[in-house]
Amino acid sequence: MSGLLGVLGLGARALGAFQLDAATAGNNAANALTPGYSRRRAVLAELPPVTLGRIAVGSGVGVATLERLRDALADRRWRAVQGELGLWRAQGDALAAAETVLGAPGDNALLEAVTQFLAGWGELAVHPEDLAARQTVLTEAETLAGVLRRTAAQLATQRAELATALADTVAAVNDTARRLADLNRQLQASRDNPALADERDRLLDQLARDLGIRTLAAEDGTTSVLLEGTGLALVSGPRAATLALAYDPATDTYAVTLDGTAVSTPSGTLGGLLEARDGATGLRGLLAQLDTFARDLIAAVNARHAVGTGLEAPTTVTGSVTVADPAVPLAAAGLWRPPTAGALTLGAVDAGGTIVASGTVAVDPAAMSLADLAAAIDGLPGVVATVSGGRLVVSAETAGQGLVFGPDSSGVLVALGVHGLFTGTDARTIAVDPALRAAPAQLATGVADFGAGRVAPGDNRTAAALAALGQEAVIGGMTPDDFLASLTGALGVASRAAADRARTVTTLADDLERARQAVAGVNLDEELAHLLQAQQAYGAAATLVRVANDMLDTLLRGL
Amino acid sequence: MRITTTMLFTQGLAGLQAALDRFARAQRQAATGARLAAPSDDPEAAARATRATARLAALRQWQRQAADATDLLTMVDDTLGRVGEVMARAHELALQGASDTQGPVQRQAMAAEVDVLLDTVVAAINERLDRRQLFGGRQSTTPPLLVTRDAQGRITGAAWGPDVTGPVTVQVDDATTVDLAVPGPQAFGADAAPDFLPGVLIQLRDALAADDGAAVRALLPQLESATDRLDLARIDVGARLGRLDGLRRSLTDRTTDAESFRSTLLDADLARAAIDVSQSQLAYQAALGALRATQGLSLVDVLR
Repeated sequence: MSGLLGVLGLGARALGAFQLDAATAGNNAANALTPGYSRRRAVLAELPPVTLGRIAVGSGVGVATLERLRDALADRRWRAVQGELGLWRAQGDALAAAETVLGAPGDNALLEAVTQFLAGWGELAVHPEDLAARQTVLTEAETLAGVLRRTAAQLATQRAELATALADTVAAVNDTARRLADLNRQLQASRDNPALADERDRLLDQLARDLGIRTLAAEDGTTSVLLEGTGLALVSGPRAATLALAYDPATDTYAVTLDGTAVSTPSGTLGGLLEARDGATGLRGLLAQLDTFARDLIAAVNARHAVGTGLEAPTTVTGSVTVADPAVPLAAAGLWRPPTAGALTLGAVDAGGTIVASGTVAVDPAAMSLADLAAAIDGLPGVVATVSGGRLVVSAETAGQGLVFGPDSSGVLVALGVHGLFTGTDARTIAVDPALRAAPAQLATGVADFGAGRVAPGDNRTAAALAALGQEAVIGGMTPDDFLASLTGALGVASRAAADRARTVTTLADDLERARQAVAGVNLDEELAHLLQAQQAYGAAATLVRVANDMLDTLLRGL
Repeated sequence: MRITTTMLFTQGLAGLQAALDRFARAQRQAATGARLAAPSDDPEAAARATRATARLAALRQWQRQAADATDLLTMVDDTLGRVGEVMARAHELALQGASDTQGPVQRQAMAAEVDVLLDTVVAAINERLDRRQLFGGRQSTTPPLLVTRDAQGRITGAAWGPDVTGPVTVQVDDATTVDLAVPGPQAFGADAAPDFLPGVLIQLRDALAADDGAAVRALLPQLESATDRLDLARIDVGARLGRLDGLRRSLTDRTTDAESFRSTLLDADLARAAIDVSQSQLAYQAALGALRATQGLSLVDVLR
């Protein structure tokens, strides 16, 4: 292969090599903005020399391999923080959305509604005989119930949205895992295909963000994926496991399983969404707090209202709480606030405010069922009691008379929702008793005086007691404003902590991304310079071909 | 470190985003005047602001209640004053009527005047503010003093209705309550008492009409005792009004304090916010300029 024809061949091979070099640089420049693209280099190598006797003559240049420039260590480091980043980012976003439901600190609808409600009672305590003040209190009560219901509904909607996001993430993870398994199969066949390797790394990056992974590169060119913090394999070689969500209707929470095995604490976006939806500092905890607020508020208000008297006495009251089985003892009936052993006084009052009949029922929830209680109340003079549809119905026996409720040490009136201001048992169900809405004069402001046998219209003791609720530790052992302050503060702290962690991890992730990019990323100037270099070399090789051709020409003509 | 094209671009973009975020934040503070947009901006301040807001609402409510109580008790005080004047006149008439120099004609005239005074007193006792009886105590909707009249419409008897008792207390401060009720028997005597004010006036009128000087004389101590009770009630109401007055001043001061405390927690410092806006605007412009400068440079331009 020596001689002029050899020189011509050498030139031709060099032309090919530089063409490929230029094409690689061009491809790099073209993919400068392609996500996940790793720049490549044509590695030029001298071709094996031709030996002529004792001298070895070079036979030119060729492209030995296309090198894919990628730093595997930087990749692993980058992926290691992605799980945490996804976790805090998803949590921070969800909590920030929950914060908007509660409103800005200066504009908290729930706090506003509570203070207005209490102020309404304060006003009514000054004017217990005023019908307008009664209307105001009922309107404020409805606003308060509405704000609680709306807040709970909005938080529930956000939880439903998070559940959808969870399902989407799980579907995306499964899809990615399947594609990775496919890629592993293809890579087994052609391990040095840079496009396949790029695609694999892109999918691994995605998984790292979605749920936090560790990767294991095998000898055969495949990459296995383990879930961070567990030994569970999502992808092992050409096989992908299936991630699934397990819903627990009893607690309304989700758990993640991998091929049926529970994944205790997933990281990444998936973990963040789970924590935000079902965690103690997440929306589930917030809803539980809101329910506690509503429950304790209903109980505290109704406990005072139930034993109060208004301008008019109701002729019939129906409990708002339904008992599934009226024959079961009250303690075992699954009541939202189980009554205790105690006594309930009630009676009938005439239009002039004189209590015409009264009596006391001993309540023993361990032995007494709803039906027994109704029978015992029915046995009192002046009142009739029945159970209708699982609810206690108490009426005045004589036409023209109304009901009057006295001290209730058993808490059975609150438990059964009898003669309360609010109906419902939590933030989703709280409402104002429609019977009171229709008859504001029945709103209780006073207390019956069973000793004197009188009900006085100007008595404001119930109204004053309700107005003073703002200073009493009735909500989860705290005053209402303290409870709301701690709720707001706790949500703020959780949201801020998640945002701060996300910011810190983002800084770290950005540094690692730069380190990764420093190796794999494309610099257009660099590629252009390289193109110029290839162009020069190509020109030189072309000159060589022409010279060789001229020489051959000279030789042929000279002969 | 090797710098790549994408790196320059994303870095520039991130800087731009950060500058824009600061700008938007400063602008929101300046525009809304609110320091906190969400509890997470300052959880501790948000919690304290919640308490401060509730505290402020309670103080304002107590202020309103104290004002209402003042209105009501002022009217009670005025009415007691009017009854006091009537009693002074009745006392004068009783002193005249007790004198033996008066004849039956003069005593008849006096009896007629006392009858008018009696009507005035009964009307005053059954006085209302809006729908509320001033002297009804817990019986605030129906007139507390029930009177019986003869065929000529003259009052022949008076008795208290049911529930004319107190107290009707209203909270006006953390630990302070004020009694709104001045039940009739407290100011005018129980209806069975010998110095029951309307009862004494009825007896005085009847004694004058009967031209019985000795009986009129005998009524003088009861008349004075009834007046004394009235004065005591006025002193009591005056003391309550005095306490309310001091309390309302203190409530006003504390409301102002609570307002400014809440404001320090929630309101943006507007001067500071304005400076932040212009500063962050500058930073944003600088970031924009830097991005344009880096993106404008390329070997392609140089090689042309």
